[in-house]
Amino acid sequence: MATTAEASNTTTGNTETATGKMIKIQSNDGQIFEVDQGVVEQSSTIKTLSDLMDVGDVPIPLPNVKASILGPIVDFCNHHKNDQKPEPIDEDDDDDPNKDIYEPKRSDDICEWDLNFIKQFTVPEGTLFDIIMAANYLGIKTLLAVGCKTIANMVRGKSSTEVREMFNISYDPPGEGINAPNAIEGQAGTVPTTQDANATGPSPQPDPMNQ
Amino acid sequence: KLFMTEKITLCFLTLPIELIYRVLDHLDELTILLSIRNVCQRFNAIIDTYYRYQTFTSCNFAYKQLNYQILENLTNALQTNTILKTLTFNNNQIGDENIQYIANILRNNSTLTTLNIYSNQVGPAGVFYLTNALQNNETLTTLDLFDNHIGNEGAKYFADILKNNNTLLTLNLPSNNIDDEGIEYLAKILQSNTTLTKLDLHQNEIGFQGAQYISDALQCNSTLTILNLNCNRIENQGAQYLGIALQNNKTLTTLNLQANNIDNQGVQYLANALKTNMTLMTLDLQMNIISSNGAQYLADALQNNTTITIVDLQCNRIGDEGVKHLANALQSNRIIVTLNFRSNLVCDDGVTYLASSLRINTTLSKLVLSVNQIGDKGIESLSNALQTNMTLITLNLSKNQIGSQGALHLANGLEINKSLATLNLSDNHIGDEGSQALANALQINTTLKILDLGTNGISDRGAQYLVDALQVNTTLTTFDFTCNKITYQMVQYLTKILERNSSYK
Repeated sequence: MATTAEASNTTTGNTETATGKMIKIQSNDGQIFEVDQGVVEQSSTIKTLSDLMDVGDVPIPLPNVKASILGPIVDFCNHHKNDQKPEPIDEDDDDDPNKDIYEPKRSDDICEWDLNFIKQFTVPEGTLFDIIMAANYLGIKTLLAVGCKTIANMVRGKSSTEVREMFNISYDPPGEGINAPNAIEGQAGTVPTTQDANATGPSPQPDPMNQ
Repeated sequence: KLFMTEKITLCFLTLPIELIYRVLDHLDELTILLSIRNVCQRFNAIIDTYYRYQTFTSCNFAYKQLNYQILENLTNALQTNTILKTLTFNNNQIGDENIQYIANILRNNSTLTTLNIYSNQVGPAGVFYLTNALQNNETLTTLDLFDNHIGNEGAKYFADILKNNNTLLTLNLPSNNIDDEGIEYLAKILQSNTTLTKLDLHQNEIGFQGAQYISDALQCNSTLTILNLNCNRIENQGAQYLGIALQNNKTLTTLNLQANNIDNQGVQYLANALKTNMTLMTLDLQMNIISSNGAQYLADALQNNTTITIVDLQCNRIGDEGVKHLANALQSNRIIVTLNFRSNLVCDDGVTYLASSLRINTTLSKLVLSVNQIGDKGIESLSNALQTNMTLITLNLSKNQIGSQGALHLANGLEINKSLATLNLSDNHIGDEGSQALANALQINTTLKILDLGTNGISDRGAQYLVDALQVNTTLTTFDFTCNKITYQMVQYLTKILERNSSYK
């Protein structure tokens, strides 16, 4: 039944870094991964759970992440566990409203390893969003940032129509389906266009959603 | 075990709102408008609640190479926008055809107050679209079309719109090939328009005829406060018409008449008007052909004038005689705050006249004497005046003939003076000796904040005195010593100590 992820083997001999204690985590489809403290430190969720449960040999269940996503995440964390710790830039404190809030954050600073890593997750399969959701759930700020930056980079320079195509977002008329304004509280974007009938010349083609 | 969630393939749209905010954090305002806005209802709702979007009150799209596709997207994206107040499209070669997209933005929007469309090859046809869109607009207060080619026809469209528009406060049409014919349209409307407060028509082709139309308008108009006619061809005859206007007008506060080929004759017309006018505050006569006689006419008018605060005569040729007349006016005048005599052939005698008035005058706060021929002797009398004067805040003596002796005199003045905050001595030749004298003064002076000693032949020796002085002085925060003979290391010392001073503030 449970198989130990290959990734965890790469670090098991790494005893001198005082990360001796290994922890088991379990994906929602039952696969168990063994990870060391260097990985645990990067996930606030796993860290909290392991501190809380003092699990011993019992695997920590992660009901929101499946093995096909959790495996690569373990790889990611293993790769980054020796990164310089103090990374005060960007992704910290997304709740802090006073931190250069009016300027866009950078998204051209994804390192090459991360660029290659994120390539295995795609939009059509939905795995790019799986990894973002999982990173968010597990509280892995660096991975969440890589995911969000990747989407930002895909979007930049595209028209809204192209973005719709790229992410397979069908336009549903107001008030229907998952695009319904009441899907989140507070409506917006429902004001119809008021194209002046007297507008002369080749007036701009209104976006379909505004007709 | 099977989990239902695994059945659903995730997509961008189904990400929780916090994560979409995370993505938006990495996008600039133009991308959010062009790429995310109007993708779907949900994104629009998310954008509307996104904190950065709520601060997009001003968007600058200058130099973005906006083509019709981008403009079209932008028009659509802004259709439901109620946050933007200022939109800037400068330098995009938008042209008459594509200006229609911007016209459509105006048509659909009811929050925009400022629209800047500099240098976009907009001609009369483009103005037609814009003014058409403005017909029902009740929010736009400022429209700037600097450097296009709207011409007389474009001016006519604006005149037509001003008939009914009660919102537009500022209309800027500089550099647009407008001549007397176009001015006639605009001026006619100004007679009845009661909202426009600022009209900028600089760098057009307005002649005396156009000035006459404007004059007629100004005699009826009671809302326009700022009129910029710089760089036209008003000349003396035009100045005569404007003089008539100023005698009757009661609202205009600023009149810019730079570079209009006005000589003493023209100034006389304007000066006579100033004897009765009670509203004009700024008279800008830069770069005309005014000599001492013209200055005398102005001086006579300013003697008892109670409204003019700024007199800008830079780049004329009033000389010492002209300065003498205006200096005399300063003895009784109680209103002038700024006098600009830059590049006016002023020598030591002229400055001496000014110095004696500065002992009496208590209103002048800014005096510009740069690019003249003032030497140490003139500086001596000026410095003596500085010992008693308590109102002058800014003194510009850049590009004169001030040597170490002059600097010594100034130092004496600075030791006692308690009002001067800015002193510009750049482009003189005070050298190390002068630097030493000023450094000594800085050890005592506690009011000077900005000092410019650029291009003065100062070496490390002179700079060292200044470093020493700054150990004591903590008020000087801005000190320009570029273009001297100071080594890199000494520059570092000076920079460091100035940073300390700035940190005190």
